[in-house]
Amino acid sequence: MSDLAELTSPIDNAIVRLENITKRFPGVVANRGVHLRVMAGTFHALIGENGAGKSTLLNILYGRYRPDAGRIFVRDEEITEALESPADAIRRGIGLVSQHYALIPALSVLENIVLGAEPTFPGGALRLGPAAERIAALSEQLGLGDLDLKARADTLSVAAGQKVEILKALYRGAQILLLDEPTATLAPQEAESLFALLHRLVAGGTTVVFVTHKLREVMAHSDRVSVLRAGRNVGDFNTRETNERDLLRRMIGTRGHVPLDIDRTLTGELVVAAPQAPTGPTDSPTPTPVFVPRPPSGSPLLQVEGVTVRNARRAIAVRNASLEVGMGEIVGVAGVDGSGQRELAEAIVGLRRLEAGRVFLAGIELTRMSVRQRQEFGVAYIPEDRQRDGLVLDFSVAENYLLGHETKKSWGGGWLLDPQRMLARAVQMVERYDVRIGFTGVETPAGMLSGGNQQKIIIARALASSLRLLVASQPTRGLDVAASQFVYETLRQARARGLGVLLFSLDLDEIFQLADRIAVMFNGKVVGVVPRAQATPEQIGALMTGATWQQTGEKGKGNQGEMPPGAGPGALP
Amino acid sequence: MRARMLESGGFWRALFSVLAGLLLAALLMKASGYDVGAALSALWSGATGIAPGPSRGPNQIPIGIGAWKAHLDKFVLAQSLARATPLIWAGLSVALALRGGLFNIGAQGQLIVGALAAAVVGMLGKGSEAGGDVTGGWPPWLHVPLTLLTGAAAGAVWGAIPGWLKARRGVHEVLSTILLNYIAADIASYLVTHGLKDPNSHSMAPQTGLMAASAWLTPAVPGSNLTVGLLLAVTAAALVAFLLQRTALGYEIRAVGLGQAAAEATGIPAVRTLVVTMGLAGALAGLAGAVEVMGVHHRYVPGVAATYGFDGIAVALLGGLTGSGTVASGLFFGLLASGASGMQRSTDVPDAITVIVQAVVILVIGVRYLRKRALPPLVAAVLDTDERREEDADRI
Amino acid sequence: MPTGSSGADTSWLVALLWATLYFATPLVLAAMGGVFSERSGVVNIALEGLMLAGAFVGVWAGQSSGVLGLLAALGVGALLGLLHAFLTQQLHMNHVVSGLGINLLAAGGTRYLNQILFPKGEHIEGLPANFFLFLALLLPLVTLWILHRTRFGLRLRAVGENPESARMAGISPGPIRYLAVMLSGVLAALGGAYLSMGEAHNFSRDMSANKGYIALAAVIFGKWNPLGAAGGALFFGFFFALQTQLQISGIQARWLGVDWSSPFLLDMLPYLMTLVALITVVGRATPPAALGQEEE
Repeated sequence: MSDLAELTSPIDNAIVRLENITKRFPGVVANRGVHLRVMAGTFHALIGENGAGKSTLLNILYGRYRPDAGRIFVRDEEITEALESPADAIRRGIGLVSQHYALIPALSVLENIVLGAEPTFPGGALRLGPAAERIAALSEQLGLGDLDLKARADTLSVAAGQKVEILKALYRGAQILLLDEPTATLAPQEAESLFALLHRLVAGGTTVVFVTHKLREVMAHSDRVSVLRAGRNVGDFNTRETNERDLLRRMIGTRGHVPLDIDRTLTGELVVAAPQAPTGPTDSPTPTPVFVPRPPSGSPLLQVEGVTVRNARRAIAVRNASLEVGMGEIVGVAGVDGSGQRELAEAIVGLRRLEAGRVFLAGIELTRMSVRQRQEFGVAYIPEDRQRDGLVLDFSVAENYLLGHETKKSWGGGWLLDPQRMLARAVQMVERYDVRIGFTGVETPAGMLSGGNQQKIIIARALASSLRLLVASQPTRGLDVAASQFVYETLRQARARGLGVLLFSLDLDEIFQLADRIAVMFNGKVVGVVPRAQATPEQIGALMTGATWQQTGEKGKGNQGEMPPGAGPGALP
Repeated sequence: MRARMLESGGFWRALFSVLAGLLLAALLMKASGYDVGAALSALWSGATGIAPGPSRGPNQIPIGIGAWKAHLDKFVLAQSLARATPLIWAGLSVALALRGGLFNIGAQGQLIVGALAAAVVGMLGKGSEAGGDVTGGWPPWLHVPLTLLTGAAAGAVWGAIPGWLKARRGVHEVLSTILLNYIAADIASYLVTHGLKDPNSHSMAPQTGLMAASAWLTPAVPGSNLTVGLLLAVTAAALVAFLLQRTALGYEIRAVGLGQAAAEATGIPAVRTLVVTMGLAGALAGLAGAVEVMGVHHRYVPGVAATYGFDGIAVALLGGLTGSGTVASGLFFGLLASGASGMQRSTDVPDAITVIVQAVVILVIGVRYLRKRALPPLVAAVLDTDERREEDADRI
Repeated sequence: MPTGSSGADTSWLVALLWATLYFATPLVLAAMGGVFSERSGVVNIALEGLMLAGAFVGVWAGQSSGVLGLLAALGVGALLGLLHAFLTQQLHMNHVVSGLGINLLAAGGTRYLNQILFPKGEHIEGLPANFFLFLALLLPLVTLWILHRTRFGLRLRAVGENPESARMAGISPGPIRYLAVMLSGVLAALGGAYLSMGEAHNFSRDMSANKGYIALAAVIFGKWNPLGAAGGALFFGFFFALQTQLQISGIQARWLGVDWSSPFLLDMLPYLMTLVALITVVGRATPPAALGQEEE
């Protein structure tokens, strides 16, 4: 961490100054009169919940969005008007490592780095030789090691891709580096390595502005921190002079009480959630003892045996993966982004053909069944990309409820649709799940709803069928705390009802909070299955990055469940 | 700014595009040195049958008021409506496919296949002719529906092919349907010069034999091409609208059309739906062909399809992909084409001008049309504004 | 297939090869246009209309001078390309709708003007076919070079894969796409000009005869790669050539009661083979990631 004492006169030293920035999108105000000062050569964290306006602010500073009001200063020069596009920001030494629009997969690493700042011969022919040398030198200097510049960008891991993005920004001479939730999809070890790099950059004089919603990271790494809530800056602090609890209070405000486990997640303590009282019928055949990985009797609910799946580009994405989920159990699948989670989830619900392997539900083979047949056997899916795979955005809320149920009489479906019943059912669902749909009611197009409300529709639709297995892929992605909490509650209730839940998540905290057992995927393989009670974040993190897992030999948990078959690398073929 | 104006409403947008097309056509005629007034007047009377002057002959009904003498020529109007009939069918075909997310440029080929199949079935059941009396022939109540159904079935099969290719092999339907149009025309031409050649024809004319009269549709106005086919097309439009809005299959078609990934993920069999959509679209185009041979030519002749299949694209787009809209725009383009023929006869203006009108209509109405709804991710929180306000109230 | 019916005479084969090259020429030229447009992310169904317009204008403006006619043809290609770019990029029109509209505009416009200007047809000197052939042999390599070895090419590919990423890298996708689609129009018009100026020496109604669509199929067949697309164009050109050579040769082939040497079935050959090629190849081809997407 750089020395705060150096910042003798922070006011004069502001390299970035945002004044009264307001940004509206149709229907929502993302930033309302935000003031922000970033001192040169510091590590500045921007923290806030999802939807607090952090990303918007970064994107305004990077020239992607133009503010509706307010002024932007960089090195005391006002650039509000001049900042029309990212090109203008780049010219002023600003670089952005973004969460989504990262590298272009089909281009090489070298092409990605030079894109937009290409060295050319007169006439426009590319002159990549010297550029490659410079990049290699830069990479050396930053301790990034050897980089295959000719490789296609989509062969890189998420962590490596991020480093290439940083390199790309530095190659263009960025002195102000903006990072939008860069650790969201990294394993803990990878995140540490990223922070180490960022500290080296700060030590070298680069200013780093870092967006996150993890208090832990802010406290461990930043010099200064600004808290955003509901589009406003609600406080700037020297990190040393504040604490997590204070920041947290600022982040979520005084609205209502802070639910216990949100509090703990945000403060970074990995705690075991208190066992939930089953909310279903009390004579539930499978009560949910927290530490018993699966019911002692009978075969597991879901068995995935040696499954191999190809991705959309026809490359092998999942290799010989095996998993089991019991009734009344949540199995969390951890892994860095792109380890094959999505493909495995799609294979289980029937969206992707299996190259090899078999899938069973309660002993019945699903391998060759269609999505609909699997649904009829009780498989439901909460997809990762809810706007693409979960909803037809141009359909109304009511029509979206009918999706997949359009042949069921009770839903208002059937050969002839029954609009009356369909609407009534939708209204009922909307009320039960408290979906905010505005004054146009269930006729509102689903595309007009917030992410949390969209997710509620998907969840309501999934849970309303007679269900045995719920496959949830990153169900809280992009949701704010309240909406995430709703999702957690839903998954716990599903477990309490005796359902099996397979939860794919990039967020380790989430997995530790919810899962009874944790499976780890790396490079398309399931490299380990560990009961949560015996797992540590370090251990899981190591597995996520492909390190070989040392058997911890921790058998001292006694009666709290035995290692299920298929757990641990020893059980892997 | 203009884009915004065009977004405001289906009907006004359609009207605007039509007026823009006609205006451009008028300007083009003016620039080419034609008498625009005379040309437009010829276009109008050729399209509607309404012309100034006293009525003559049994087909003309006087409609003048007071000193202003005018008449409506029933025959001309009937021919215009007849011209609209295949356009409505083809327009429905394109519209249904587009609602399911597919560009059916193949209505042309499906129409040819439907026409040929209908002609073949129409030639059956002639019975034996003895002394002017036909005995043993099929009754029209059987023959007409059978012929229509055959045309529909043939078109459906031809349409289902690109649907299947798209769903299973990822072949873009625009390319496959265009290629299949050629293949259909060539196969049909081959068949009518070989196995299906008219045995009674003295010339080398490539056409099938005459269909049995029991498979003919009778003209509504004697001598004209207007038949019950128009009524059937309007009925089909209502059925298509009903299918899309009120049945599970229609719901699935729309779901796949607007969001194939979501449809698949929730268990709607997208492959089957795409094939069925194109099959239905093909059936509608096939019916266009069947109605043409049954009502107009009474045999398959090359050129029976004219450019109806392609015209159907403009019809569907102008009609806003709805049943009633397609009927209206089919009538418009039918009258326009018919009027243009009259205009070319009386004023020499090339009737290709209608193609230009079609192009302008497509280009104007296509602005912001069929646009995928792509909400910027941050916009999504639309309805959380109330919550936000509460938060503000108790902000620290 | 013609199996040795012309005996040891190789002239038949030589004629077939030359015919293949000439039939492929307009397809290659238009296909290169297709590559530029589609690699930048813009679906270009309008190749057909661009070819037709180029063919007509080449004759119309080329009555006194072939070079003048060619330049005018290329100019009109650029203009219609500009229209396609404007409609799809500025007005966010669906790329296929815009393409179909432009095709209709070209079809209607050329028919109308042809009927008015050349009621009896118009014969022109035109330009030597080999000039176009030479360009068709050269352009795939040039296109490859531009795409992979120039700044414009790199940016064009970036924009076609992900315009938002490109924007984040400081590139403005708009101008790149405009340029790419206009270039596409120029090349398609060049292909059309070959049909009227280099081959027929006059213009006839709808003379592009769906070659624009075939060229687009060649692009897809060639996996959006210039050399692959040229290969696709040659492949389709071969079947056009084979069809005419078979018709000229007057070979009779009856099998299973079907007269395979019928001009209609031979005419079908290139279309059928294009379809077969698409069926076998396309499933495995990956288009530019942002192809045809209408962004906000």
